Amino acid sequence: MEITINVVREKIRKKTLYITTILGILVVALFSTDMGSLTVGGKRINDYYVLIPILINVVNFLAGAIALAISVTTVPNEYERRTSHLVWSRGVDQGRYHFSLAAGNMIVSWISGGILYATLCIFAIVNGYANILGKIIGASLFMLLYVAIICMLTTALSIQLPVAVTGVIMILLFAGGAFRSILTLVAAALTGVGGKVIKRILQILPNLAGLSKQAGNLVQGNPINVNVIITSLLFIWIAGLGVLFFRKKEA
Amino acid sequence: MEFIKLENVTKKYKENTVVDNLSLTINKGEVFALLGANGAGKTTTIKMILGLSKASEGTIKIEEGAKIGYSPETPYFPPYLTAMEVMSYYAGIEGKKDKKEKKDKDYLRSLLDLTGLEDTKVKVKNYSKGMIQRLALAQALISDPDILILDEPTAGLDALGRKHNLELLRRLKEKGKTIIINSHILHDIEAICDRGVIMKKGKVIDTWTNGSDSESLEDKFIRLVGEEE
Repeated sequence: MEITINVVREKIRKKTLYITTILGILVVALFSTDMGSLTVGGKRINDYYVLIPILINVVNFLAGAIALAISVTTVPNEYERRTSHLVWSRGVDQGRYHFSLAAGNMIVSWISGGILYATLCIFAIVNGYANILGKIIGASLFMLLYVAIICMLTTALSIQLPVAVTGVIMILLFAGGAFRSILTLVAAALTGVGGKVIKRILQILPNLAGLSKQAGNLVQGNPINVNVIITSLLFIWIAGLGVLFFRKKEA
Repeated sequence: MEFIKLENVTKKYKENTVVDNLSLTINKGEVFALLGANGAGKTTTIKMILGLSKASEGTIKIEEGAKIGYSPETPYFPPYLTAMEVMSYYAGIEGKKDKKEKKDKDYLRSLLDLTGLEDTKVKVKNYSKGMIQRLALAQALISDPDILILDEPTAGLDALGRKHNLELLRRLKEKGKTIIINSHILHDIEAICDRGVIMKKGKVIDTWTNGSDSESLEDKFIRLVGEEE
């Protein structure tokens, strides 16, 4: 618990966190106050109810970006500064140590995502949609899964790989997961080897786009695809096992 | 009484042998020095004793149940914490702290006092190198360890700081602590240590016992380590 609290204390001092969160607030504020001028697919959006799923996508994406940015250096920094020496020498198991670090990153990212969801709630009230507040809060649970996937995957990889390699792999996985629907369309359009390769890639990508879509469905009262939740939990579980069982040879 | 025993310990990084067939015994209550030039294998030996690195060959035996405290050469503490917060953090990791317990806070405060630090609101980022070194020593004492492993404990300290730390180590020795010191400052070693080994290229090239040689440790060190350098 001490390690997790310390990660939170360290990460809340990061400028990246504030810049991204403020950026998110501005995007939400801009879209929410200038609704009438927005068009999607040629249709004018003048209903907050319609706009919310789009904003949820944006907010989840930003929370995921924060999770990636703060998670990628956490474990490597501990070993580079040799803080790990003082932790290992106290008999703390590596699995517990790494998991505590990942948990700290997750909490900070959740707080950041929570602030963005709170902004969504405020603008829902401002636009006269206070009746959907409960649904927006419910939708934020999907953000928790979204962020947990990124934090756990990034931490697991960063135990074994250099920062730059982890960063590149995670950006690809994150972008692929967040824009999965576009990749699915491309895979369907391509009939050759390219299509097959993309289909294979889709199988290993976390379904981040799916999570955002389910969050939007929840707000709009559409049915939720439980499979997306189950596969996301499975992803978190597998990545969590990586965090617990991947080992550094030396502190 | 043998407290720590290394038998034929070797550490290899791929083809590079950093510690080569090292055997040594450290007795309870002894202050033992690991001496050698940079790259002699001292820090790797310490890391293996601490369990931070696995020996490629050989065995390391430590008295069962013995608690170890460690002060690293270049300690890093979160710059936004105070000394007391750093102490609480490590005490928490060891599960030795109840935030509500006054006696726990008093105990940690007493360790800060012992190392010449104060429980103030000054953050670590404003600490001098010497103060950070003292904090490193204070956190090593949290578990009231039987064995203290100190990597360059007087490096970066001014004359007063060094004197203070040496006096502290003497007091710890009187309390029966077993202390292993890795230091380049041979005057400090002579002032505090009972025995030691001089290492070169991962091997023990000689042993040293305080007061038993006619030659000063510095002369001996330069003669042995300086050769072929």
